[in-house]
Amino acid sequence: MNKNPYSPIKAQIKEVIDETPNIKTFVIELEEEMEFSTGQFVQLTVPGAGECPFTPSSKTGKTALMDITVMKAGAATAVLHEKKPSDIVYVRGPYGNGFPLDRLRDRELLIVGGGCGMAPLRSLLHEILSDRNRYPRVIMLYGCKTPRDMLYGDSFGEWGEEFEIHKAADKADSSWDGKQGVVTELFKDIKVDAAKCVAVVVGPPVMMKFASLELSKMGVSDDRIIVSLEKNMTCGFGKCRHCLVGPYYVCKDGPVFEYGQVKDLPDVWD
Amino acid sequence: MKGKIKRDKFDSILKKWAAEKPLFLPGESGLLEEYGDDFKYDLEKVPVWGGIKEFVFPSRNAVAGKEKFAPGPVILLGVRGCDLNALKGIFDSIMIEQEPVDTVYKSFRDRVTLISVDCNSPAETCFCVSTGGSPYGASGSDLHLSAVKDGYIAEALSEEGKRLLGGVELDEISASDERKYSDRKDAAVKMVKSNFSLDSQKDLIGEKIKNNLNKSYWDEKAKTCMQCGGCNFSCPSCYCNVLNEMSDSRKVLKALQWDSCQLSGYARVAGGATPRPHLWQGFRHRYYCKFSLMQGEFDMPGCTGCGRCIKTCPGEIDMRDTIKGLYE
Ligand SMILES: Cc1cc2nc3c(=O)[nH]c(=O)nc-3n(C[C@H](O)[C@H](O)[C@H](O)COP(=O)(O)OP(=O)(O)OC[C@H]3O[C@@H](n4cnc5c(N)ncnc54)[C@H](O)[C@@H]3O)c2cc1C
Ligand code: SF4
Ligand code: SF4
Ligand code: FES
Repeated sequence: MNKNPYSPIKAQIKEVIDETPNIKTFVIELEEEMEFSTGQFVQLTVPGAGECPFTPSSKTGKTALMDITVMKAGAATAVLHEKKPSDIVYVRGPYGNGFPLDRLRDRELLIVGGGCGMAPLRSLLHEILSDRNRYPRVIMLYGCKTPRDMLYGDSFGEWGEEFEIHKAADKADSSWDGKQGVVTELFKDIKVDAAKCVAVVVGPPVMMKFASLELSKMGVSDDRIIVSLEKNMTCGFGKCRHCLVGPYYVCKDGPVFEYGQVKDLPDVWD
Repeated sequence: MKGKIKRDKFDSILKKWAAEKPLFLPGESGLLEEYGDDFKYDLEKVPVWGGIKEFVFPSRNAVAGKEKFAPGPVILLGVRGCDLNALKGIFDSIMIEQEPVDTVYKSFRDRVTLISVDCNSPAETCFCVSTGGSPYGASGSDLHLSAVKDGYIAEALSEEGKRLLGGVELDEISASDERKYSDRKDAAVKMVKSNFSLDSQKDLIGEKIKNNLNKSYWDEKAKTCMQCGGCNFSCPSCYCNVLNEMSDSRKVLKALQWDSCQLSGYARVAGGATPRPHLWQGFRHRYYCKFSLMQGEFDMPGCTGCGRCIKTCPGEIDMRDTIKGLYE
């Protein structure tokens, strides 16, 4: 018997972590375990308010516990931000392709993250840490609006011991130990073997667009720039057509794409 | 199984079928209505308003939070080739053949018995032949009826069709029936072709649209579009949908509702950004989707030439003009 694909799993919020003024991480416990890989997403129902796609930011695998990092962006996420431990949400998924780990291993890996794009990247970093030998060199460039908007600030210390990290804030203040400016400014500070490295870029569309252009200029080929797109989604499994960008369904052909696949499609960065 | 149902027996057969399952067929209004006493039907009327989409993919219905979604079985009579093509080639393909199976759709799909009929007098808006169909299309139907002088030639096309014809007294089909039938067929095909014909250029429409990002062209064509979505809602090939959330903390309830790519909020993402902010872009998207994207995905265009969108449009936009213009 086929399962009803619209039917979600009940989940209880276990913990709510305030990350930044408008981002919270919800640790949720699902009634049934779900197996997901890094970069895949789930559809989370905020009862009565709506359903939104989110990329779990926690460690991947078969699990009942999941971290969902949520930026307050509109109607449903505003209601979600009011939720407290023991409140109920619903989850279905996982959907999408996730990051192509086999193409990231055994290379110089350049990770470029901005804003809420750090959510999927956090799960990728977990993945890398659990398989550390396969990732000989990891460089992370991270951009945020102001130091207060820095996501997962607590983890940067630990990550800094393992990876080469460069940070930039659009508007810095005296507390900031990184650069002032947009994330693409950081490309000047790093030395990578452009012919061999792979880049993963996740963040707001403009940031992905300009970071990818910059990487191209440095000589990184289009198939070695990996981006994760955000498009309007309803079903998550190829039945509603909302997520189409050119010939691709972002929900099932993506959300992770090679830059070369999507860069010339008309509406991709809008 | 094939034979002739004499006209004077047809009503009693309808009664018999209707006693088994609710029977819907085109009434005088041109909508599919439930058969009952003194029901006046018109099997020649095209297009049948609303078509069969509402029966297999309702405009709004629950998809989560219940055990059973579809109501009981029905027989739909008066189904056309354009409807069947869209149902089989697009709906069944996307909802059932592609993983994951949409079990809700399947439960609705399984409830319908389809009795198709010929289009002997196509409307001037019909152009099914241009999109790969035919006014005599019956593939996917359970039972097909072709009107002849004194009745209907009935052909069972599935087990269910055979079952329906089971208790029915069938007459011999005469040579003259066959001959007249075939003449009429040719005439109808000719008529549909004269409404709109692209012939050898058919396969190129998608490329033409894909490569045409000329704002002034689409602006001109979309001049009277008021973004009502009627073209999508009346279309047997459109299935875009959106989920509505009605849960509380104890129970999750979701409703699936038709959506339209012509509505301005269709592709909106958080924060209000939308990938196609201008009307012409959304307008073009419908054509691009049908003739380029769907052609690639389904090996047929997302248009079966039924002409409903043309009849529906309050802005009097005729998609044939939009397509023709691409070749000028
Ligand atoms: C694959 C993927 C992964 C994502 N991962 C994350 C993540 O990990 N963390 C995170 O914070 N965000 C993530 N997002 C973004 C997140 O899904 C959105 O921020 C969220 O859906 C916003 O919902 P909202 O209701 O609060 O926003 P709103 O702006 O209120 O609405 C968002 C959606 O509701 C609909 N909508 C709202 N108003 C209208 C209207 N007037 N007309 C028509 N439609 C309307 C639209 O479909 C719109 O897309 C991800 C998105 C995608 C596609
Ligand atoms: S696009 Fe218009 S003509 Fe084509 S199938 Fe849809 S309603 Fe019919
Ligand atoms: S039916 Fe006509 S007016 Fe309405 S959205 Fe379609 S093209 Fe525009
Ligand atoms: S989200 Fe429905 S098709 Fe991709």
